[in-house]
Amino acid sequence: MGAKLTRRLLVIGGAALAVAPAAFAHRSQSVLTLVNWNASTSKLEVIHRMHAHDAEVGIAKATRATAARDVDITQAKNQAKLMLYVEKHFSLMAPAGPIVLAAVGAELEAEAIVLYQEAKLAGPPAELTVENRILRDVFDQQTNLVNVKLAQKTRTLIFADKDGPKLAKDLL
Amino acid sequence: MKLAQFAAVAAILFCAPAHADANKQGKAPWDDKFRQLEVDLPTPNTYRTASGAPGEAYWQQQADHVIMASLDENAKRITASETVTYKNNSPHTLTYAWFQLDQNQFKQDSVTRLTATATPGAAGADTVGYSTLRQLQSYADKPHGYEIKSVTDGAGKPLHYVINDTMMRVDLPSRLAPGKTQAFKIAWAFNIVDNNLFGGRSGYERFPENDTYIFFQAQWFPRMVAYTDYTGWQHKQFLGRGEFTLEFGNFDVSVTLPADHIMGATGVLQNPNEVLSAEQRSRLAQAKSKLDKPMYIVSPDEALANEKEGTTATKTWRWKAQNVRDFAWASSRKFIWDAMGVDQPEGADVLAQSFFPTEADPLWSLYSTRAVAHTIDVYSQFSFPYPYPTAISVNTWASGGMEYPMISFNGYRPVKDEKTGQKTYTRNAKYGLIGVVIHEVGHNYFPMIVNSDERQWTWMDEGLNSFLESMAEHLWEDEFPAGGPGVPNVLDVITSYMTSQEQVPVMTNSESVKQFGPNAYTKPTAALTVLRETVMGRELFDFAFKEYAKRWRFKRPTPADFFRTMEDASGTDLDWFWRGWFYTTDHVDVALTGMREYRLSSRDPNVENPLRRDRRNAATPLPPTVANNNAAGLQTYMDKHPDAKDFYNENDDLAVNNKDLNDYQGFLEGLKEPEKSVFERAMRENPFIYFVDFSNIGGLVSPLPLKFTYEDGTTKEIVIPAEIWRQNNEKVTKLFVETKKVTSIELDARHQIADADTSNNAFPQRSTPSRLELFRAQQPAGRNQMADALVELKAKEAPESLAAPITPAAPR
Repeated sequence: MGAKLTRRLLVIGGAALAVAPAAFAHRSQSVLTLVNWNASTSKLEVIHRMHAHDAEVGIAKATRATAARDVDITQAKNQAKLMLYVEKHFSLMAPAGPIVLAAVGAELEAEAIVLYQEAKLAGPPAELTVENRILRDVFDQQTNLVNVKLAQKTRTLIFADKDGPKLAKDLL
Repeated sequence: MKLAQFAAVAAILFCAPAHADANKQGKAPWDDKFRQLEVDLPTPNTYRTASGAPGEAYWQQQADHVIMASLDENAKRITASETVTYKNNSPHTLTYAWFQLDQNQFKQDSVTRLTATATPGAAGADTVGYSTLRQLQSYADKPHGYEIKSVTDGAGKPLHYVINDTMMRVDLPSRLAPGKTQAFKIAWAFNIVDNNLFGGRSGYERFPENDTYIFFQAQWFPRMVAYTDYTGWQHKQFLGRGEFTLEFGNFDVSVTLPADHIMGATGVLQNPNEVLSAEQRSRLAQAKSKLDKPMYIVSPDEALANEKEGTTATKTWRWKAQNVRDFAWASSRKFIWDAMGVDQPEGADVLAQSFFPTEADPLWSLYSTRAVAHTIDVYSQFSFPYPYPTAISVNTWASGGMEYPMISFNGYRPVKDEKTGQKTYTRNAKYGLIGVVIHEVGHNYFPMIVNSDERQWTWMDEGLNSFLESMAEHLWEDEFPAGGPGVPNVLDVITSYMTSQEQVPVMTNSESVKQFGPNAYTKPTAALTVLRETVMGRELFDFAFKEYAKRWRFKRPTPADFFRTMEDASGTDLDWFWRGWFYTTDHVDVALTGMREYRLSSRDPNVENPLRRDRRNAATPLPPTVANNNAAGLQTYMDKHPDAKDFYNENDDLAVNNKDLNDYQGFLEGLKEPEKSVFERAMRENPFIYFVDFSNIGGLVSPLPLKFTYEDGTTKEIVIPAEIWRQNNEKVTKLFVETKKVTSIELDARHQIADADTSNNAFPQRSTPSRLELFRAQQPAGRNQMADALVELKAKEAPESLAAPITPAAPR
C-alpha cells in the first residue's frame, strides 16, 4: 500500500515562532505528570511538576508578557495563567468520554512549580488517552513524562518530537 | 504489633531460619543482586588497572593547535587556518587520522538534519513554524557548515581527505609510528549560525532592538578525533546530543575582531597592551587581588557607550592555553566585563570573570562572577585545586548553558518592562543563573580535566557534575533556592522517574538515552547522594571520589575506572550498587511488612501462668450472649446457688499445681553452663525482642535506615547495610533485642534512600494521605489563591489559540 499524499494549506501561527533553542549541557526541559486514582475519595488526581523558570518562559510566550511581574511564578495570578495554559495543553479521555479536570491549586517546591487537578469519577477507567503538549510549543527539546497509576502497575507515556495523543491501556 | 512468647530460651538462641536461595542456578529464577561486576566490566590491562587507576602503560594522544582566525562581523563569517601538531603516543602505527567537523551538523544534508522529525501542533495536527521557514530561508541564502579550503602536511604538501558527515579522514603521507609527530595544516571558513534560529552550542545572538550582536564560538575549528585504547578512533558521528570526545593539547590562538569588541576565551591573553586600554589593564591587575567581590574591567556605562559606536578598524587578540581539550571564545562590543581573584589554599590564584550585555544586568553584575568563584572553592574541596589561571562565565543566550575549558556560555536574564523600561528579574531567574554558572563552570572539573568520553557516556560528566553542583548549591545557601518552600531533596524528586516504565539504564550510550535529564543528570546525582550520605558515609566517599578525580585529571577515564576506584579507595564492595543503580532500571521501594514482639519466658509457673491467663482473656473476649447477659444484670444458676461451687469453680486450668512447680525446679537444675549464666543474666535484664520483616518491592537492594521510637518517648536511629539482602533479595527478617519497649519503627524517616513509596515504611502502619489531599489540607480555609485567580482570569479571558491554524487546500 502506498503512502497517501494529502494537500493542505498550512498557515503559520504567531505562536509557532516561539520555539526556543535547546539548552545544552544543563537541565533538560521536561514536565513530569502523575495521574493517580485515590480510592478513598473516588477521585482521579493529576499532579504536574515542572521547572519554575521553564514555566515562566511558557507564560511569557503564551501571554506575550514582557515584565517580570507578569510571569513571576511565585504570584498566584501567574500560577493561574499557567494553570489555564496547562488546561489547554493537557487532556485525558476515558472510554466513556473526556474527563473534565478541575483545578485544585498550585504550589512552589524549591525550583519547581507543582499544579494539582482532579476529577470525581464513579470508578477508575481501564484505559486513558492522554494528550500532553505542555511547553512543547515553547522548547524544541521538551520531553514530557506521564506516569499513570490507577491500580498496582505504573504505565508510562512519553511525549516528545511529533507525538500526538497516546493511549495507556490495562490500567486496572 | 503482635505479641507472642517463647517457651524456651533455646528457641531464640538456636532456631535456624529457612532461607530461600536467591543465588541458585538452574530452572529456578536466578537473580543475584550482589553478583560481582567482573563479568560485565572490561578486563583490566596495562592501560587501565583492576584498581581503577591508570595503568603503567597508559597513553593518550597529544594535539597542539596554532590557529589564526578572523571574524567578519557584517557577513557573520569566520575565516581561519590552523597547524595541528599531532603526537602519536599510542603503541600503534597510524596510516590515517580523523578530524571532527562539528559545524557540519548545520549543513542542510547533515545526518542531524536528515533525521530530524517534525514537531507537533495542537491536538497532534501538522504545523509549521516561522522558525522552520526561517531556517529554510537561511539555507537558501548561504551555505552552512565547514568550507574546507585546504588540507596539507606541515610543509604545505596537499593531503588526501574524505569527509563523512561530521568527520574527516586525512590520509597520512607516511606511516606514523609510535612516538612520532605529524603536522597538519588546514584552512577553512564557515558562516556563523543564528543561535536563536538553529540552536546548538555556539553561533551569534542578535538583539533586534538596536541591531547589536554577541558572537560565541565553539566547535569552530577542525579538531582531532580521539584515538583511545578502548575504541581506537572514536567513530560516533555528532548528532547533536552526545557531546565531545577530545584530546588534550596546547593552544596558541589569534583572532582578529572589530577593534571595539571585548573578547573572552580559553587561556591567557598574550597581548593586553595591544587590545586593552591602560585603564582596563590597570583594573585587571587590581581585580586579581580583589577577593571579596568582583570589580568592573568594563563598566555598564562604558559598555553602553561602546555598543553605540561601531568601527571598521580591527584588533587581533592572542591567547595561549596549556593542556586543554578544547578552545572556545566570545566577543562583542556590548560586553560589560567584571572580575575577581580566587585564592586557592592548595593551588595557584585564579581570575574569575564574567562577560555580559547590559540586557543581563542587574542580575549578572550581582551574581555571575561570585558564582564562578564559589564553584572553584567547592569543587576543589571535592576533587583537586583548579589548575587553570582563569574561569569565565559569558552571557550568550536567554537560558541554558554550555561548558568549555576556562569559559562557559550561560543564560538567564532579567525581563524588561516595555512600558517603563525597568529591568526586573524573578527569584527563579536569579537561582537559575547561580545554578547554571555553578554547573557550567563546574564542568571544568568533569569533563574538561577529568576527560571522560561524552560521546559515549553522558552521565560520566553530567551526572558527576550535577552531583557536585547540588553540593555547591547547598553550600551557597542552606536553602537553595532560598525564599522558596523547602529544600529540594533529589531523593524524593527522582522516584517518579525511577518508577516509570519507559526507562533505560544509566549505562546507555548518550544518543540512545531516553528521558535525558532524569537519566543522565538527576539519577546519577541521586545515586551518588545515597552513596555518600547513606551507603558509604562522607569520610569514605569523599576520599574515594577525590581519589578518582586526582587519578584521572588530565586523563581519560571510562565507567569501569570510576566504579573500580570508588571501591578500591573505600574498601567497600559496591558492585551491587553499580549493578542496581547504573545497569538496571530497578527502583528502591522497601517495605516494613511485619513486627513481632517477644519477651523471654522465666518458666516460673507462678509468674508465667497469670500472664498466660491475661493474654488468653485479652485474646478471647466473652461471647456476645454471655456479655449481654452480664450487661443486662441476669444472674446465672451458679450466681444464685454459690453453695454448689467446687474446686473447679475456684481454679482454672492455669492454676499452679505441684507438677508445674516440679517441672520448673527440674528446668533450673538441668541448666548447665554456659546456658545457665546466659539465662540468669537475661532474666535480670529482661529484654524486649523484636522480629521485623522487610520486603524489597522495587527490586533495587537498599540499606535500611531505621528509626525506633520507645515507650518512654526516646528514639534511636540505625542503618542496616544493604548486604542484609545478599541471601534473599526479596524478603528478610531481622532480630532486634532492645532494653526498652518499642512503640514504633519507621523505615527511611529522613528520606535518604530514594524510597518510591513511603506509605509502607512504618509499623504500626500509618495512613498516608495522597499528595493532593495533603496539599489541600495545607491551604488556609481550604482555598488556594491560584484557584481564585484562575476564576477571575477565566472570566476575563478572550479565547486565543496557541496552535497554528490550518486551512484545507483547494482540491486540484
